[in-house]
Amino acid sequence: MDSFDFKTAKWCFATRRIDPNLARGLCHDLSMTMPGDLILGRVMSIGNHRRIQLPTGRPSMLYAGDLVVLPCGARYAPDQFEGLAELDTAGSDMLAGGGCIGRMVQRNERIKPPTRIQPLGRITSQNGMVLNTGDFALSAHATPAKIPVICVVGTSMNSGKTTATAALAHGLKQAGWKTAVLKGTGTGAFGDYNAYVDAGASYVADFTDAGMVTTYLEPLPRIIAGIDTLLGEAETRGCDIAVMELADGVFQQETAALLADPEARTRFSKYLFACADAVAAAGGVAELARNGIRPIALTGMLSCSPMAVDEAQAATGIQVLTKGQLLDPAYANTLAARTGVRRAPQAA
Amino acid sequence: MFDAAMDVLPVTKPMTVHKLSVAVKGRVLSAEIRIPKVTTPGLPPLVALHGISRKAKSIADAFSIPCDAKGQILITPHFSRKQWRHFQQIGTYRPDRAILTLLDLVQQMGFASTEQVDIFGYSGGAQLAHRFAMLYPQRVAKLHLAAAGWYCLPDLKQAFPMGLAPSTKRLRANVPALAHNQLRNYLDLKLRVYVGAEDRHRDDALRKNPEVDDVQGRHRLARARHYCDAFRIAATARGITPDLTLTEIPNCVHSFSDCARAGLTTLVCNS
Repeated sequence: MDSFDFKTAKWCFATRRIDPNLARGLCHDLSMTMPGDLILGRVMSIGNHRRIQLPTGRPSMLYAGDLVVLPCGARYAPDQFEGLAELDTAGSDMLAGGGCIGRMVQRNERIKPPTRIQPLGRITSQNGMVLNTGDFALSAHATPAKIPVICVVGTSMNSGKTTATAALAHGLKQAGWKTAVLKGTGTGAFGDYNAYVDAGASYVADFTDAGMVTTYLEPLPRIIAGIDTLLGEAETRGCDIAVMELADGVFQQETAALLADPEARTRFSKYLFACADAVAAAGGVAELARNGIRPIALTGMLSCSPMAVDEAQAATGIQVLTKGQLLDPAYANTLAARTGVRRAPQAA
Repeated sequence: MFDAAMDVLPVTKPMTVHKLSVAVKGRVLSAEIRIPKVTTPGLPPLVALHGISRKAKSIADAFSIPCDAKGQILITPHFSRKQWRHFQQIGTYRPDRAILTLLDLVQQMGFASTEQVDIFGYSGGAQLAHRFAMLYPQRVAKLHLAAAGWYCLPDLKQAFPMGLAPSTKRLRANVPALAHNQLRNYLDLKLRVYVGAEDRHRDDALRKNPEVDDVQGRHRLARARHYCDAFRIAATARGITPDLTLTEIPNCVHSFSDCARAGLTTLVCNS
């Protein structure tokens, strides 16, 4: 396999920080596989994921027999799968379209079984070291970032967090702020990333840039360190303010742990909460209040219904902002003002 | 939703002139950009807003010589009477978004960095200028208000649009709440207020109603003085030392050309 041309394989989006030219060989022993190790796999059968997200930002249709490169990783996605960073040489599961191979442990009943991948081996460099996403992370910053951060959290997947994050980012850009849009937790995929880029963010990054293919089951200190790395990079690049989305809902274990950790919370200046209806708004606000958090606004699917907006505002006393309002520079700017943002010094 | 067009005119002396336009939600804002022969690096452009007579060219001509001397790029928007009947108000219309879009375009075309600009407004233009600055104080390097007919006061007890307490009317954009959130940053701005020392007439263009008369005064001179007092009080109450001057221009009534002849444009550029 030393002469194998890895470039003919479809490398997934979560490998985007790694130059395929570094891939020189395969280690067939999978027993020592670590989360983040790059796995060369062969598509056995097509299931839920019919396409793989490429680093170029486009999806590629998968066919049985395709070679793919995916990092080994876990997945937590209530609308799809829960999976662990474990491999089986006989066949493993593609847990996310942006990358991530592992073992599915449960799935949403509306979702097809996962696309099956036969792991052929761990990809090694010229010196025989297994390539791991963690080795290609952005450098950590020596001093803590001071950039103001609006943290976007929600009730669940598909509650409107990414829509809100992108809309707010665009509104902030229109207001003249250099805005970083970051994803602090989740599993690597280009959907959110591309939405942030399209919104005109000055800098976009996610936990993958901090070396993690997923934050699910990662220790909290590593996730916090990853967030610090992203915020430090945003600051170094001259951004004035950051909008950071945390994946899934406030009960998801890593998101919940972050929000419950007073030290972790010092990174977040203000919170925006996305939810689907008034009851979810009341419940989410109450749950956040247990950690001393009161969002500066509610948003998400809820904001599409004027009646739900009235109910939620009456129940929580917190203003609901629509997507249109987040896109409005005057509204976005007022959220920025609540963080105490000041114009950042010009980047070197 | 947004689009833009540009015509480049032949080079004129003393400044190179470009014409731009932007459209926001179907309303077009045109503008002239005058580039000095030598621009001073790092100097924010000056956005000069006309009054309700909409004499953008007169404003541009009057600022050309001092801006050229200073090396400052001059941007003079023109709000057409047909599309922007009440351009000085932010609410039903969004002239603020049109200005932001124009500033974006100026930067995208490489004419100037517009992260921050000096903003000057005369009469109705001064009304728009301070309302814009109340929403986007971070975009304003220095705010110059000349002969505004009346002001939105930094006062949380007066209902909007007189102050920043909630409006009695239903608003499309909750401008008082938005401006309230920015108030501290607004009061931190460098503010230069100008008014003709003889601008005491209650002409047809002046807003006249008992509420404004009682609170702000019966004419523009009184209202400018009242606004400066209100600004100082609001700033001081928040621990901010106001950076504010009021210049009463001798022998001038409510006339931009008279004020310009008396040195208003030079005062603005040299302040």
